[in-house]
Amino acid sequence: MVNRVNFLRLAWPVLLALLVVVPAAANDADADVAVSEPQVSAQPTPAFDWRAPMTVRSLPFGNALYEHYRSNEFAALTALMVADNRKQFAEHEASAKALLGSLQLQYGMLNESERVLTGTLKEVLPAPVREQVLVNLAKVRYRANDIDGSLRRIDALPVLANSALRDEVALMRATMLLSRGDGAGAATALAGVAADGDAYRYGLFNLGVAQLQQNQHDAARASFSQLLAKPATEPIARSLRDRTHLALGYAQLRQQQPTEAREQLLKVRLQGPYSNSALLGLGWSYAQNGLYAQALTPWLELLDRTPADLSVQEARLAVPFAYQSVQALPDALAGYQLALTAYEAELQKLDTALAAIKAGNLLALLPALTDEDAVALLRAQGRGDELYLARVLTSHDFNEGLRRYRDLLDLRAVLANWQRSLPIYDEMLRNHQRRYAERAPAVEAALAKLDITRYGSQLAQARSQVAAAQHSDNWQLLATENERAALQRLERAKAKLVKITATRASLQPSSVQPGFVQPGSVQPGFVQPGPLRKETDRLRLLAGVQVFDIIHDSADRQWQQRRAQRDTETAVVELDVRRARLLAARDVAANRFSQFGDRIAQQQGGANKLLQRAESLMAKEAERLNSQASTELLRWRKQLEEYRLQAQLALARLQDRASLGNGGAP
Amino acid sequence: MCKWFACRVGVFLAGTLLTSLLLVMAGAVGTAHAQDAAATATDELEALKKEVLELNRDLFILEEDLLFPASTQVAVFVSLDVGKFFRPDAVKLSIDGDELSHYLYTERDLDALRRGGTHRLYMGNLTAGEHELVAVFTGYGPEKREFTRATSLRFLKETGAKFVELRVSDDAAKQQADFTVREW
Repeated sequence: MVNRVNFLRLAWPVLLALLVVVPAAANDADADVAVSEPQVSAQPTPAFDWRAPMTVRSLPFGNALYEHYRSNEFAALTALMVADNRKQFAEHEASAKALLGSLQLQYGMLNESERVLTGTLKEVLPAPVREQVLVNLAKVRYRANDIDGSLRRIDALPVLANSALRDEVALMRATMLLSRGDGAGAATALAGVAADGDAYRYGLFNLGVAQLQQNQHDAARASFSQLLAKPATEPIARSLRDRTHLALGYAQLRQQQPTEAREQLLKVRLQGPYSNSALLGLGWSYAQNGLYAQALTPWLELLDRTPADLSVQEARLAVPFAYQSVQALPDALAGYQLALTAYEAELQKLDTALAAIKAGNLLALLPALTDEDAVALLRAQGRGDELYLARVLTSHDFNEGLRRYRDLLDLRAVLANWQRSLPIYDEMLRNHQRRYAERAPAVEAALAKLDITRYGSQLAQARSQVAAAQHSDNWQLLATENERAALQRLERAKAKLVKITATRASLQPSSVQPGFVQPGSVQPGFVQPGPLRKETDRLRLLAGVQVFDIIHDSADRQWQQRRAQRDTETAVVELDVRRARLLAARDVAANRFSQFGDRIAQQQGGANKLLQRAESLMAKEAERLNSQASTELLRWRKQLEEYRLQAQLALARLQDRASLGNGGAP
Repeated sequence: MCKWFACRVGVFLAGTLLTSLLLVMAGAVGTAHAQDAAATATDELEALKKEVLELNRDLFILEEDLLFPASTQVAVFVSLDVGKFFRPDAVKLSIDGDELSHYLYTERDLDALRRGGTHRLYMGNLTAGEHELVAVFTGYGPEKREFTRATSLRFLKETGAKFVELRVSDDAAKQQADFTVREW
């Protein structure tokens, strides 16, 4: 009996690690890492679907939604803030603000988010958006670890129409109640969850663990059974199922129910992330029944596994203990010696890892680290301590810090980008200024020549001419340049003809009446008297044709004139507008250049200051991460030293008893 | 034998319990300190995020004012309504015969478009006056049949900023996609 208690005490660090509430979005890789108290889980904020209640009537708002749906929070936030500054939300003002507040929550800007979201509640919001805002306000308090505030807001929520939102709220409430040790309240909250998602499963698991911690074993079994009854095909669900079997198995071991514990532990997948703990527990379950030989099988299997695991390290003590229990004393002796050698080797690796952290190697790795590739990255560097470092890198607390560090990296990248761009804009502005200075004199000269008043009076004159030309009597005004010339030539010819006729009349004898020429009466050497009938007719004909052409096309010509008048008016107006614009541009040019110059200089100063702040915060965060990693490894080291001490003691006692002749039986 | 065992158990028990207790206590003290430090770091980070976002906004506005002043600014957006009859793969935009943008849509882009997002395809400058915009969409229709559709618009650029929307919507009556261009 005492013996059995002792086994469990030995397994206590492992058990501690297992009975930890799982953050809902926890990475399974960090599942074995010991945390001394249940953590309030960080619920993921699902991307809110703003589509259903609205048709987007503002392109900039639609663009912010596009970035939001592409999970590009920073770009979405910027798009919203720019559109807000330019007053481009149109009828979506309230919804856009609600989206802004929600994005700020997602981006970890809790104070701003609360301020903006509270402000939107004063506006008229579409019902689904209002629901989301109210839930997000509860979430803000929850994320700020203000459980009372968050629960108050949840209690004040109206009946939510959106079932997904209802589930989310129930899970949030369950997690918060669990963190306060209110298992019954959490169970009630979870009972209201309709959808069977990962978050719900994690909620059930956390509830079961909390119930175990409060020694409510029946309730815990009920919660775990509910979870185990669900199909598990996805990796996350299968991993959670392993963990549930493990928690149940260890709880039954503590209750001295080895057979039931074995049943649970045997259901854990042999190649899963929890198999080491399951193998260790399996050995203890046999040991509780006094079946040490059977206990050896899982424990020996553990010895071949990766050493950077507490279960493996503990198995190094458990194996010789089992040999000792079945009187295989030489094997027990060898086992303790092997354990000592292994602990020494592992302690050395830990020292290497600690030295590497102290030397700043971890910091150098941080910018390149992502959750998935941490181990691969470390392994690629050919270090012996990668498994220990990887354990640190995947721990929950470290990841929280790493997330802040990455946020800072992103902010620094944004600021560095502006720091590069601003001098370019400055240069561009100077080029504009130079070009303006080069062209300004020519423009000034052109402006000086431009006499809009003269154009105006010319236009007025033209207008009256066109108006006159609209009367049929003024057909001459419709003549083209050529026609006018032809008409003038005809007039001149007519005048000449009259003159010739007069001359001829003065040369005639008095008996001949001027204007009459008698055919056949012309005498040789004598100018024929009278009018030149043939030429006169011809002239009349030509003039008639000319007039006919003009009058025949008069409608078209009148229309052409009116159009030309309109075009001219437009051109003069445009010229006037351009002139006004040029004058205005000339007036503001100097101001504009200096205003842009000031803005660039001011923003450049701001960007530099913020960049310095980001770098200082990064350095602080990196130092904190470094210290966190060192502390974690030192805790490991302490545990290994404890195991080493136990192995040394056991070995010494075995040798003492053997030398006293009692065979070293336990 | 029992005496030896009891002694061994005692050492094991005391040692392991003590270690565990120390670890837990150290963890608890360390955790409280770490939580305070983390809270401060989170507050500082939030303040920095706020300021960087504000600076980013101001610089975006400055950039637009400088590079695309309202008097010449033209922005072209793409939107998708439902998208049952057409799944855009790429869009090519030309104005006055000059190809200005050629964008290939990823699945993530399409998802954002289907959910009501509007993609800003192009932002540039145009002189005042009349212009012709041509957009050529390449994509897949029902039965994954690949096809290309073009749509055009003659528009007048005046003194204010000009926004144009290229909209792909489903025409249930015709059982085909409808491509329209709208001036804002």
